[in-house]
Amino acid sequence: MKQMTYENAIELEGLSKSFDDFQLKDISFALPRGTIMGLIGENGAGKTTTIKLLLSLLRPDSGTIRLFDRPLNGDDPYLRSCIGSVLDQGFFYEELTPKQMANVLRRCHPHWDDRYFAQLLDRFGLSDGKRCKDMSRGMKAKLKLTLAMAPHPQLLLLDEPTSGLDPVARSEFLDLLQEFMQDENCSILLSSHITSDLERIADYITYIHQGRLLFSEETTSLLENYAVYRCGWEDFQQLSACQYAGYRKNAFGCDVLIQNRDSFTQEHPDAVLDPASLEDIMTLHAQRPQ
Amino acid sequence: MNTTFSTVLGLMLKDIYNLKKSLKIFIIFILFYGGFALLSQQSSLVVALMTTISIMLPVSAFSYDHACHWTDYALTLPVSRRQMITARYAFSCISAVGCHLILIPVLFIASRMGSDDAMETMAAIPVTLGVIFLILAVSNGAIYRFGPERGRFVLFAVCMIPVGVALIATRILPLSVFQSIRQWFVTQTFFGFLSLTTALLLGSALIVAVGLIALVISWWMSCRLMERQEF
Repeated sequence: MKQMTYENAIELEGLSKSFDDFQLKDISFALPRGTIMGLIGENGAGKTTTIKLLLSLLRPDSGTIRLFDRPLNGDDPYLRSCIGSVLDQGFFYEELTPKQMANVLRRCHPHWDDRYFAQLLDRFGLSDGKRCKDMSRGMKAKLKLTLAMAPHPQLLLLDEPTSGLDPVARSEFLDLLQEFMQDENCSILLSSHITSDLERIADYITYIHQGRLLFSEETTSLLENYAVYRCGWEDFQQLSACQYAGYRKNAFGCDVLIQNRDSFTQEHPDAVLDPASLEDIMTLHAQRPQ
Repeated sequence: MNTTFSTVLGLMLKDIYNLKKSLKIFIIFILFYGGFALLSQQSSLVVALMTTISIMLPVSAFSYDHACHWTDYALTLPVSRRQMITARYAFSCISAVGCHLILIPVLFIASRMGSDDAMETMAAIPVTLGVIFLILAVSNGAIYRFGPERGRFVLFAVCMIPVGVALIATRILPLSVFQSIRQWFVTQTFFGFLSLTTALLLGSALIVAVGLIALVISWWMSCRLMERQEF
């Protein structure tokens, strides 16, 4: 496959999409070439909508989408030939075997690689000709990823591909993604609720909350800057709203998400701050005062 | 890029894999009813069966796609919406033609075994095929518009309304009316110079042509519809 030269695998600018009961509003972020971005957010936040917009399954009301530095205008099979995707919904009928699926995809995909597909099937123990309906959830997830990777895509769009997998299967899955990233032209957008997986592999985290973008930042700077201040309710009430990004009241007091660890420490030298995990950032941000 | 031809072939192959089980059942039906029709000398029975199978195969393919959200998946591949629709219409036509090709040897054997109406039925194959093309044009379009659940009702209406009208006509009108219509056809010289045989041949070709034109119009409308759809 001919390698493209580009700076950003994905570039979204002011992307909006309205439905009767949901609105995705003003989403802007960029996924640089050769990086992994984790897309986080609660159920119904707009992660799948964003991925569907990238695949032209939905059309944006406003805003622009650029893939590999090229504008995405409607149904573009050429751009999709450079993308591998795993959707939560939508796949082959379950009576088919992986070999039959490959027979179909070989004719539909210009970059399909039979040898690589067979290698991946062997590696995942999927080469025994089992039909999809006889596979476990973990095997199906691996099969979906195998089919997405066999044509050597330059961008993987994965919508909650590890949901329902046990830790061992998840770990294997993430190892494969990391191998995929050994080619510096490849990039991944990975939507997941399993924040520990994203901490392990994602270079960037984009957080969508109720259809709006809360942040899109480098994972390392997020984990360095954010902290959790566990304090009593009285101490919390003395903080001004601009000092924290969110909080959660509990039986013992309050967990407060601090957005800028350094400046907070300067203002409150006695405060003890715990490192914030991605899960802390996500759950406490969601309870941000409006 | 892959050619449209290769992509359409791939998509039709997917339909064949999906319908493998149904095809096996249909073959058992064909053998059973074919044998029964041959023994009872009722060749129209096997024609009715093949007509039903030709209409049901595309409907089943739509249902399988719907059950596994295939369209959502296919549109993440380098497959255009137009190619997907072309593949489905091509599959519909090929399955209809295939079913009718099977009829030819069956009816030939039936005629050899002494069935009086076998050759007459064989002559009517192009007309049946043309009517099936018309039905497929309506049903495929309706399924793309309303989905397989509601589209099936449209198919049912398309098939049942003419049958209902014919049944009511046979109840209301006296037998002599039908006999005089038949007599008129047999004695008529069409356009002043065509014999009945030539007119029937031309009529059959016209029905097939109308069916194919209807399929092309339906394909075009489905493409327009699909271009606007979101998934």
